[in-house]
Amino acid sequence: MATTEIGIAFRRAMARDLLAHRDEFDVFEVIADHSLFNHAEARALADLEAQVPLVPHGLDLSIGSVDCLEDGRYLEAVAELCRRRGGAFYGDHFAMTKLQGRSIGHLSPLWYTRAQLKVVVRNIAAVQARIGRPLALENITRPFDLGPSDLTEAEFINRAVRETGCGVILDLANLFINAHNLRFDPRRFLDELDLSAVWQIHLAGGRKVGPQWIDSHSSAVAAPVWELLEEVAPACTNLQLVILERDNEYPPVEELIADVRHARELARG
Amino acid sequence: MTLQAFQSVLVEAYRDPTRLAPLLRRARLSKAERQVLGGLDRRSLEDFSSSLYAKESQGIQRAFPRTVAFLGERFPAVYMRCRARYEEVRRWPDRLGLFHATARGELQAPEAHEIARFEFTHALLREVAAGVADLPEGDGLGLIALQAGELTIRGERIAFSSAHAGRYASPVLRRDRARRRRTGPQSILFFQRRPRAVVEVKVLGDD
Repeated sequence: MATTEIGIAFRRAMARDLLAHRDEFDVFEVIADHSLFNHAEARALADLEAQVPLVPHGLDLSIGSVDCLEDGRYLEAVAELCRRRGGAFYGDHFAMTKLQGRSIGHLSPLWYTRAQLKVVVRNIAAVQARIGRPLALENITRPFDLGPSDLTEAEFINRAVRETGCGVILDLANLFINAHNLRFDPRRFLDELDLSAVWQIHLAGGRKVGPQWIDSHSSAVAAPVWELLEEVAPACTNLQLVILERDNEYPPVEELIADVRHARELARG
Repeated sequence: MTLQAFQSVLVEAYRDPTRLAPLLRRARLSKAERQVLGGLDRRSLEDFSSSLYAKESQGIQRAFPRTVAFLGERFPAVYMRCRARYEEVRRWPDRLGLFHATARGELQAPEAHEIARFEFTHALLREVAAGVADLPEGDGLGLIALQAGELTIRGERIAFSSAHAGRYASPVLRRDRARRRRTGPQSILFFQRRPRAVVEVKVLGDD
């Protein structure tokens, strides 16, 4: 297994602290969408990249939308970003975020049917050709299952990987949250998933509201998520990156550094 | 292929769960798709819709707490998409709204002093007008009152017509600018009158 790099989501609110401890992080994950149409932000990222390697993570590819490929302007912006920045792949999500020019404002789940898979495969192939690098797509949290499906989520992802050569961003926090909220065994999902296709792992903390976990990225990584990382990392033979994501309610930076170090220990074994 | 219709209904349902039943009546769907959409758990759908709203609101609330408080009081039924940059703005003719940023992270919420552009149909403008009165006097909140054919800023009503093409700047705004130089960020607004009204609002800091 190649040496896995460990990074953290770079967020403006934590910028000073993260940069002060930049040696602790191999990479910074940045939200691609913030700079796609924002030249000032793009310039800021170029400055940042001079200090720490960046991993762009997209939000709005909407790979599941039937009209994903019609948003030429967005795709061209992603392609331009890929031309400007390094990286072996471009990350986004197995999700739908927009349709017919309207934004949902959130990552919305796909219905795991053969018809949906066909659309996803078509979209992934076309986007990869357009941006000149493979995609790595992330499993998202879903508030509910849409209904009886042709495929399980893991089968759906495996088929998409097999047919397009894309990779997987395995968000263990999302898996843990889905497993809790939708009452399934996360290990069953992991057993089914082709772990050799996992190129990146995400870690984050959620928030419990009543009986449900929310994917809030606002707390420390939960113990069961660390356990999943410890179990799964050795089997992810092509794992390149592990990213710790924290988007609000920021703790002292020392806590984040401790988590990054812990992730490094677990991911590198 | 009916997947497009399926997704279309689903997206509408996410945004407004109360529309699901009428949408299902009109949509051309396969039996399986109809069953899935018809069988969606209403409570889960409403929760998701609420979480969409909450997530979007949080971003703008973090950036503009006083403005949001004002909007909550004065514009509860109004909903408008707001993006940080002209280039990102799309038309949202389907939904009337106010200041509802696509807050997928704090960076995407409009920054203080950036220009956000909102587009309305005139029908929507009239709808806005029905719910809008004068702005409160000079508290620096920096939001706008819109009326079809009239604009009210800090208590001063400014009439305009389609003859007012191009950028509009009133004496009030000029005074505002002068005051802003003295006191820090305040409200500012540019108004353009076009076949589809385009309102450009400089989003204010809450400092």
